[in-house]
Amino acid sequence: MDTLKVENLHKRFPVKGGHHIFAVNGVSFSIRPGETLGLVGESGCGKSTVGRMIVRLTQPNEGELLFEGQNLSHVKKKDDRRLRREIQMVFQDPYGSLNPRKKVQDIIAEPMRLSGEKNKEFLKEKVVSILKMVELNEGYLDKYPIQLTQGEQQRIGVARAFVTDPKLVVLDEPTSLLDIRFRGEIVLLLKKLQQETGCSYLFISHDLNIVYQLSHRVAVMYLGRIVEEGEAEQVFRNPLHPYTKALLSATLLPDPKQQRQEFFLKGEVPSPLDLSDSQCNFSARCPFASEQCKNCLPGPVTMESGHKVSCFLFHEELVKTAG
Amino acid sequence: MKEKIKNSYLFLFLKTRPLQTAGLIITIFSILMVLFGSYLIPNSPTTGISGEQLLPPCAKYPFGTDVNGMCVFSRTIAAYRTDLSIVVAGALLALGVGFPIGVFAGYFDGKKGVCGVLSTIILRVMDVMQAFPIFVLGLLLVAIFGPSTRNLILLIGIANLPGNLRLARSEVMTLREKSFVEAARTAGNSEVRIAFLHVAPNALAPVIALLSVVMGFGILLIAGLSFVGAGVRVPTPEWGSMIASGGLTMITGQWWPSVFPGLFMAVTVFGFSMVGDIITALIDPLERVVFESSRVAGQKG
Repeated sequence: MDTLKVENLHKRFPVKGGHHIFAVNGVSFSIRPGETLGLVGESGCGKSTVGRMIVRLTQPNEGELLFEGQNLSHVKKKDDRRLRREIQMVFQDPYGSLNPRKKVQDIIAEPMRLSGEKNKEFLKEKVVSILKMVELNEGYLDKYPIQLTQGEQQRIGVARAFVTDPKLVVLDEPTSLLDIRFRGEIVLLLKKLQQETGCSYLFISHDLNIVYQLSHRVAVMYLGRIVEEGEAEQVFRNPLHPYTKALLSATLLPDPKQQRQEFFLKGEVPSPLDLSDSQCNFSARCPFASEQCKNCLPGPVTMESGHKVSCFLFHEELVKTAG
Repeated sequence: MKEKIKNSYLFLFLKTRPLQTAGLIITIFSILMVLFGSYLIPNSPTTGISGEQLLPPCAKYPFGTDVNGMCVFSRTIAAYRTDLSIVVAGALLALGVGFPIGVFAGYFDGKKGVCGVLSTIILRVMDVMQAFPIFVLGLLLVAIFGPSTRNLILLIGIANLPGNLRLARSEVMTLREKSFVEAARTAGNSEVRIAFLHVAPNALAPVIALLSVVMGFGILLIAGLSFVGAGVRVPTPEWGSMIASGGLTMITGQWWPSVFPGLFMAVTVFGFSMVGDIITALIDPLERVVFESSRVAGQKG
């Protein structure tokens, strides 16, 4: 069974004057046990909102979130604690996500304590062992967040997420605010922890290099929709959607064999205010846009390799090969 | 033991902060005066001797005598107890009531549901309270209940409640946007728990620091109320009323009945505000780290 299955998820935020911001518009994907799904896209494309719905910080307007077959939109009181333990989150801001007035040991122990663990000895042991897992030692127990370096702060954030032995961890841009020298260590740490615990990751990021290093599969979002999804190798070596191509051509991948296509987009991301679903929202910036793109929304097409793309260019291709 | 004190944060902090140290000494002195002042005074603070009015400072009367022939020194010392007990009780009342309500109003401000509506109502009530002149309220209370210490405590509490509440509220409103609040939410805390266990402790430092200002302001308020007859009545020793009555004789050259209590009042208020600094430094881990790192840097340099 999939660890997480997301089905046609929608989230709209009301703004003044009866308008809505369409943050997430029909997103579907699934994450298998032990797998990392990288969710990439520009700022404001709705990728963080997806993560926030999974950890139940906001409620979706439509669609289903199934965690091991259990619907996350209607959680009974008795399941709430268990689900909070099993789905955890690492936040973007390493210092901001730690309560400045609490000591490291209390910060890490809190999710355990809230899920009903009262044994102090056991809590302390657990905190020490989790500190070792994130490559810190007992000397950190009584420190305050302000006394730590950025990398250490983020390790505490990671430790807090892993203390309850979660099955799914939502990583909401955990490296984007870090100093460049701490990014690598956090990525390696996350990789190591996944190997040790076998948990699944939803890795939300706009840093394609880090997504490439960490993800098994990648989903590319544009204005609240997933435009392309596939194995990381497929998406990075052979991008299909024009938007993915543009994203990749704007990034330097640390691979000398990679042929860089010169492919740049014109214009800005359109406003997600009162978004229409009767056209491809990328059509305004797409060099291949046709009349069709402006009149209806392309559905996802699955290639033989399992690579999915939502673009009319490939609808035609299918028709051609079929004919 | 000695080593332990020498290396304690408070000791090291005070060593580099002469003003705060002075403030702490003044405040300790004030507390001692509240407790033992009545044993130190040479003359009765409440009985005047006729024929000895408005004597300048001399051996028998170190600060002279006032217009009623009462010893200004004895009255100034005895006033510690009157003023400080009123002001401390009033300030704690404002803090104890204002802080939790302020945290609530700040955390639920603009949110949906009963709590959101309640926080709006709280704020509007504060607007009304702040718009109502505190002096009129004081006179009203005196008219109904007669002048008493309890009324003054209540008045200082009410006068400072909106300020305390608003400060706590605005602190909480910035804090609630931090991602540690979301982290607490994903860990499974209820909203009320987040507001009071996670956000409130972070909002406490500035409100405690305000406490000393509140106490200073409280002493001035008592003085004002005593002047219009809504505060403490003569012969109860109280700095405000002493300054007020002594002010009348200033013009004729007898400065001592009001200058001495004024001086004591100013010094005491200063002491409080410095203690506010010390408390902030003690309870804020950020201050502590900044202090320690600057100390280490200083030693290296």
